[in-house]
Amino acid sequence: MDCDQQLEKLRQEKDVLAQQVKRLIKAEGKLYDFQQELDQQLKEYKALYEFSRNLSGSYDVEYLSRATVEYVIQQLEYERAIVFRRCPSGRYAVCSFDGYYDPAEKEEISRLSFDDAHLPLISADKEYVCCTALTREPWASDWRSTLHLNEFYAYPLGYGTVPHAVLVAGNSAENSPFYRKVEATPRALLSMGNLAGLVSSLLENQVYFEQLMEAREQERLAEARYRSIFENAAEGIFQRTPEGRYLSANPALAHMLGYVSPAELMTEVTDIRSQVYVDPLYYDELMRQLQASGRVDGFETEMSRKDGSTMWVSMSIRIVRGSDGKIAFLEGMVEEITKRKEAEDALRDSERAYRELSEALEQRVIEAVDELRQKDKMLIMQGRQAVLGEMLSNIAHQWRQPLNMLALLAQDLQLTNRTQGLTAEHIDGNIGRTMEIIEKMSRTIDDFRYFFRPDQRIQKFRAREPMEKALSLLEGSFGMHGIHSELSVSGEPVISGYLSEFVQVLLNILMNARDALVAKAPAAPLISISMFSEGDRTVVTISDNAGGIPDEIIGRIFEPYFTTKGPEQGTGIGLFMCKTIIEKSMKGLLTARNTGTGAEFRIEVSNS
Amino acid sequence: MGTSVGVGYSLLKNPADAGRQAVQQALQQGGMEQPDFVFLFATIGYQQQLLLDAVCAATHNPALSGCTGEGIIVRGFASESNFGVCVMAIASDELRFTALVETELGLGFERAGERLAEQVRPLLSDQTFACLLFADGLVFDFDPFKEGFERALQLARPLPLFGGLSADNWTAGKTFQYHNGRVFSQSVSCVLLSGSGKVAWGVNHGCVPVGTQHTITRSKGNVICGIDGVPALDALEEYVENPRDQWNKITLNLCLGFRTPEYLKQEYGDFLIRYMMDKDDVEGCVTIQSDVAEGTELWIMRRDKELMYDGLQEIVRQVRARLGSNRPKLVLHFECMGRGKAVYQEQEKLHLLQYLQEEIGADIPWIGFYSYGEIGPVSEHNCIHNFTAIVMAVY
Repeated sequence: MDCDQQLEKLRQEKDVLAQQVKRLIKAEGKLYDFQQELDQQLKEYKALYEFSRNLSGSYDVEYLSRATVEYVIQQLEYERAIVFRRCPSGRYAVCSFDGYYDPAEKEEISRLSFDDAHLPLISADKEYVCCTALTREPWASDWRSTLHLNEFYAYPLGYGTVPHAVLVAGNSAENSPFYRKVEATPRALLSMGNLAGLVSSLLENQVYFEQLMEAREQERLAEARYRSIFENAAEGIFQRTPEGRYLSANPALAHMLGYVSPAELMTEVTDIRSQVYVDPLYYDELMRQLQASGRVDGFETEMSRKDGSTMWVSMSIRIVRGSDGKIAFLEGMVEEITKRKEAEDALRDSERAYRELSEALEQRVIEAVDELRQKDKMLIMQGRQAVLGEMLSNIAHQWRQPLNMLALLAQDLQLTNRTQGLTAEHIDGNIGRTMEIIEKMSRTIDDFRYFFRPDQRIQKFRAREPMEKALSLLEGSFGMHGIHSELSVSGEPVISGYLSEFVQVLLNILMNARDALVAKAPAAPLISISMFSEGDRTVVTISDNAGGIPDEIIGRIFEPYFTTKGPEQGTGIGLFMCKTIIEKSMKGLLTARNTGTGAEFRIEVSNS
Repeated sequence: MGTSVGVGYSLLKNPADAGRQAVQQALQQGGMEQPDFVFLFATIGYQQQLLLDAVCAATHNPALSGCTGEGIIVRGFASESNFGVCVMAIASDELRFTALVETELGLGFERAGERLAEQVRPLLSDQTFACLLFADGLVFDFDPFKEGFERALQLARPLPLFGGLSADNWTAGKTFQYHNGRVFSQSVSCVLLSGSGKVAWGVNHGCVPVGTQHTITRSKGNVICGIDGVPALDALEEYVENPRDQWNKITLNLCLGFRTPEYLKQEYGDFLIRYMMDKDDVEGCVTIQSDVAEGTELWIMRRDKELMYDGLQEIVRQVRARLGSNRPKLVLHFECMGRGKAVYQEQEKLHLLQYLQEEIGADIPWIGFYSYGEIGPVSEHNCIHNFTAIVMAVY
């Protein structure tokens, strides 16, 4: 081999060697890369193991949250980490955060929260959200601004459909070159996924533990509350055997029964039936009811205290059965009701006295009402008798002329017989004339009787009829004082009521008008009467021109015993009686007013 | 009183909380209420001024220096994440830590070196024994800076320079340097160490060449444009696919090796390692952190875990040799970010760190960071390194 060949061979060997070196360097470079990555993973797993070990004995969610964000910052080398925890309200609020923030950002982050509506971002079908620096979806910009992170991961923590917490880790835009990049690479997701998985598991345990602790605390509080109720209740509370021995009792029961303590009660009372019940038959009855229905409420019985004194109690008791259905024990409450019993007795006595008093009072009221009714009747009777007297006076006045005429006719017979002798024609004429006068006088009597016949029942009558009769009765009296009367009747109004009492009212009002006209003596004394119908009512108005009723008394004219006349002229019951008849007996209305020239009385009564 | 030192760290994300937590631990460990000086190393995720304010407030505003790294290192623990901070609080009446800063890198690195030297020179004394530099790892060109610095200082023997280049984890496009209460970018934060103290250090990398020798055919300063007559990026394609697309990953796995000058070879080995901190896709150029001339031989290098482990043992050996029977008061550790999680598993990395720490000395306050470049002297020459670990013990 010559020199050139050797040179060529060496050159070829050099080329081969150079290729080998190249491969070696490349392989070495890859080796170092893998080694570095492996080293990083090893470091992470070691840190994760330590993280898990440190937290495995802890059931403090706050601590877990702090440790998680610290792990993200120190081991995974992201700039910022936040754990949001779900509040009872359903909102997610910051539980812990770590990493570098300026003070203003720190303040803002510490107050950060979001509600369930934002959860679709990390809903159950998404294991995580990865927002890289290149993500351009609309939601990303909102969250970047809210979280102060340009790139971030969000992982739900917990296995439920609604996560207990949310872990967010990432970097701000300005500092991201110095931190681990947020990217959806298997390596990066493995690191975060491992952490999120471990924290979820720990969190589930811790939340479960918290709930357990909370339940236990509630149980303890409830037990304490019930214990306190048991110990401090005013009522006696007990458990006892079906055979009649106390298993447990509260201080109230012990004190109620005169024992120093529940322990003393339970020791000394070995047979409740004979030692506690005053009448053991009550015990037997209680047991019978218990057997029948399983519980008895408000059973009242008398019990003996330790010192032999007795008391009344009300007891509620029930049977408690074991899982085998047999009676395990009886439990119940006892309330001392001695005072209540005494109070009930006192109340009963009081009620009896009240009832007697009430009955007596009722009787007195009945009597008083009856008395008043009698009084009203008497008043009405007095009024009738006063009107009767007035009518009799009128009749007497009216009969004076016919009686004179009858006397003259009688004398005429005698004189004619003496002087001329009686002829049949003269006698017939005289008798005819006499009978005419007697018939007229008889009609007066009939009118009188018409007015004063007693009414037994309500009847319907024409309004005009009693008015005309009344005017007829008063005709003589009116004529004597120059009083004219005018009767105006519209249609044929009828009245439903007591006729004689209604006539009494008309006579009273007409006579009052007459008296007023006599007293005031106007130039042309006039009584105007009008009758008409208004719906289901008949209205009668009687007015005069005597100047009216003085204003100061017009409100009192219907009061009993009120009169403006002297004692020899009026009783003061006339208008009171009229109002009583019209408004009480006939359910109508009687009012009075001044018209300007005189007084007007208005009667409204039913026409049906 | 001597020297009290405490170290604390925090991985909290809030800069104020993290700063306070780290300081609290440091003060507690150091048994002090107010330190004279504070080293602060943190990663890029924090709002840097808030972090620095918290540290300064909690330490009552002592002199302070530090920078951002790709990760933080303390005793028994290292973290390469965007959120980590470590604090070393020092109170001493035997050591003096003077903080300086040079912010005008725009004037040119050589000029910047001169300007820093002008600040340092008045502070120099017989007791000045080292200088720490925390420079911007995205722009810093060490060689001209060193030239300007050393020339301006006019010292018979160079002042030993240690430190690391600040990092941003390829996230911010910007690294930060701390000086007292202020945060800078594109600057060099500096600490002058004086007093009755000395430094012992160890420097080692764990890279081996792959393939054959190449030659730089076109370059300007720290920018390499042509390798073997083709654009530098094209030349790399012989070793990797698509160097333009996977740059960060490639630069973690591959670096450039240059033949070590004879005067360094004995202590440092055959190759000086250079990290490709930037590239130009259009021109096909790559940028490194020191100047190279056209015609320079280079090799493509890769990390080798076995060598790296052996290198740690070498560091221990070097430190121990320099320490003698002395016990360090504190240790500063500058580790290339390409030697962290990019190559080791977490446990493996911690195991190696703990090995290193235990071998240097138990319970010694220890602080450091993962850097974009490491500075440490080799054979009395100040050098910048890549893919290298530098441990500097002050005793």
